[in-house]
Amino acid sequence: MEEYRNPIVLTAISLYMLLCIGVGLWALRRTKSTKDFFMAGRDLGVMVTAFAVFSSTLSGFGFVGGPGLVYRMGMSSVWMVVCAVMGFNLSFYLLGKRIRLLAELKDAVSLPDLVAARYGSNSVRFSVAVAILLGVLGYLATQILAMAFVLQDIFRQTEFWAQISISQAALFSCAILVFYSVTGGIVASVYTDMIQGGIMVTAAVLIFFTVLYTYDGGFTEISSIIAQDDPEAIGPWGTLGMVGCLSWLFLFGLGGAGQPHVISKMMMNRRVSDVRYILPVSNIGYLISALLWISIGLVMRALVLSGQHPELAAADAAAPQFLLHYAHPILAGIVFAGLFAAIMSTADGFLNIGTAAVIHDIPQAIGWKISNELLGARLTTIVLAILAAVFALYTGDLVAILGAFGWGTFAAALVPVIAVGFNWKRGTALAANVAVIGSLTINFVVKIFAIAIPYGIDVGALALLFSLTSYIGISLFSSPPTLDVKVSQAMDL
Amino acid sequence: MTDRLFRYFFGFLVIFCGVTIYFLAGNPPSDINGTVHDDYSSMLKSGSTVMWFDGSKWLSLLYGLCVIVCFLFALWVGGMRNGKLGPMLRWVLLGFLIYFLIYLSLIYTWWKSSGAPPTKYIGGFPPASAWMIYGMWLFPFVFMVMYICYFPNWIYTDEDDSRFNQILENGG
Repeated sequence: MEEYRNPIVLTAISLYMLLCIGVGLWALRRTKSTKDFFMAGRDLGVMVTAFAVFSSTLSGFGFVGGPGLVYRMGMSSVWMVVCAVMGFNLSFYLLGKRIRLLAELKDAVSLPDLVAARYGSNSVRFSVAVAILLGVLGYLATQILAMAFVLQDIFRQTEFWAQISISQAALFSCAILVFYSVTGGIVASVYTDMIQGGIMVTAAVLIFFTVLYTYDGGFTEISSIIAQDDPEAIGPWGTLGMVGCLSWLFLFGLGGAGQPHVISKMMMNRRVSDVRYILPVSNIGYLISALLWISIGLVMRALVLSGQHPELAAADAAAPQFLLHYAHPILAGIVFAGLFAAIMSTADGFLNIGTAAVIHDIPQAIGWKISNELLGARLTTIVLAILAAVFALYTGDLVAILGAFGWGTFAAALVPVIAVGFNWKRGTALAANVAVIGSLTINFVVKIFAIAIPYGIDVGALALLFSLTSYIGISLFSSPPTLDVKVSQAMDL
Repeated sequence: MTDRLFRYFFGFLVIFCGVTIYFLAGNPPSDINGTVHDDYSSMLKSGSTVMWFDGSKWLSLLYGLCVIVCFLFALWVGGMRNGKLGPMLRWVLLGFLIYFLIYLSLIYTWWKSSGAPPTKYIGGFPPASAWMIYGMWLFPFVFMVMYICYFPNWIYTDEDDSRFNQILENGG
């Protein structure tokens, strides 16, 4: 079986990509308007929405970067996962009902549409759309780059594709992504998300049990090996330390309610009451998928420390190395397909909201009218994907800077404006603009000037604390805003 | 009630900012966020912990409490109707009390065992990490169950649905 490992992996990925193309063609027939393209006609069932929510949350980072961080830092990065159950709860309590009601009330096709309706301000619409676009470019670029690196590694094992360059790998992966995103818009995206979610859950369960049986003593033996080398590494704060880990708990716990590619899916379910069931399915789906993140990272650290595996060239190699050496070839095929699924499900969500920002939100904010938004959306999707690929391949550190703090950028800019503002009538447009602009400034300044923050506090957590405090403070000290009557009534429900 | 809650929360956020500023202005040991492992350059190993200084030890505990209060506030605001949490109030408070106790147990267990190799393992992890995995991670499922249970009677009732349709049709 070992000699067929590479053909099996390639077959699994090829089948998965063919599936994506098929879904794109199917969704093409269902996409007749801008509302279909961006909001799936607001007609999605419980399972489709739930899987779309959780698979968009778990990007390729969860499959490659996450295990790499656990390998490198011990238990520290597990806090990004530990906060997830609470995070999903907070997102649904704050927005599950609210965002769906406002979307229907205002026939919105994007988050900035809702923001404009809530604050009665095009300046807030503009600043939110720009924040989304900045985050999207960085995040999308890193997803495309990750896809290209993995594809290049796999192709290089074959004779025919041995010389494939990173640009060619990026072009190939981008082409598939663009095809189904352009043809089927968000309809294709959410239905592929459902398949992708299924693959991720299956892959995570199988990997978890593979890890469990790597050592006879299971996780106790793994923990014991790590503890013999460094007890703190397997302690609750890992090597990062307590304050840094708690800043992640804050950022990733509360920040979920500000991720536009995730919360925009909450606008698409058929009935408001569906959110009652979407929450548990999303929450449990994510919990299972996250097992892969933790288990691979810990077992690879233990394997290297015990001398059973050579040291990794880079921490991010933890997952690929485990799959290559310890997983059954068929399982490796499923997980690699799962990896592409995770990357693509996040990337297509970003493409969709980025396109909405360019073709719908920013023009609306500055008073331009696009005559054929659907055609414009399809063209913009292509342009954005190409731009992100070029950005990923040719701008070096800039893409890493933008991608690395994508979650923090969105969380800090959008949690006060959307998650708090949609539940509190006192929130003002001025406060919203200060929160968005201030948080973006903090994020960019700290990253661009590489300012080291004591105790390992995440810059996103700092920016989120600033934006929350400024938003609530400014709103409390301003006169109450006058809201649109219908919006005000819907906020009472 | 809503504005009063937000005023209290704003006051709390100012305290949270104060705690954060303490850390930003601090001058902790250079290895507080770990150092490169002696034998494996792709790994980090732990360095000094927040217990290097009593002030940072206790303020770290407070920092975590501030995070939990933010969660409580967000869940409270999200579950409110007309400024009240109604029948969910006692369960939300009880849930957060337990969550808070889990956090304190984690900290206490870690303080007792920090730096020493663990002598026992619970569910595959040292006791403090077990509190983190099985407590901090899994306990919040309780709030998910509350959301499911209270959804039709509190979060979005049939009357809400009728009222919303009325708003859609009649403009309120």
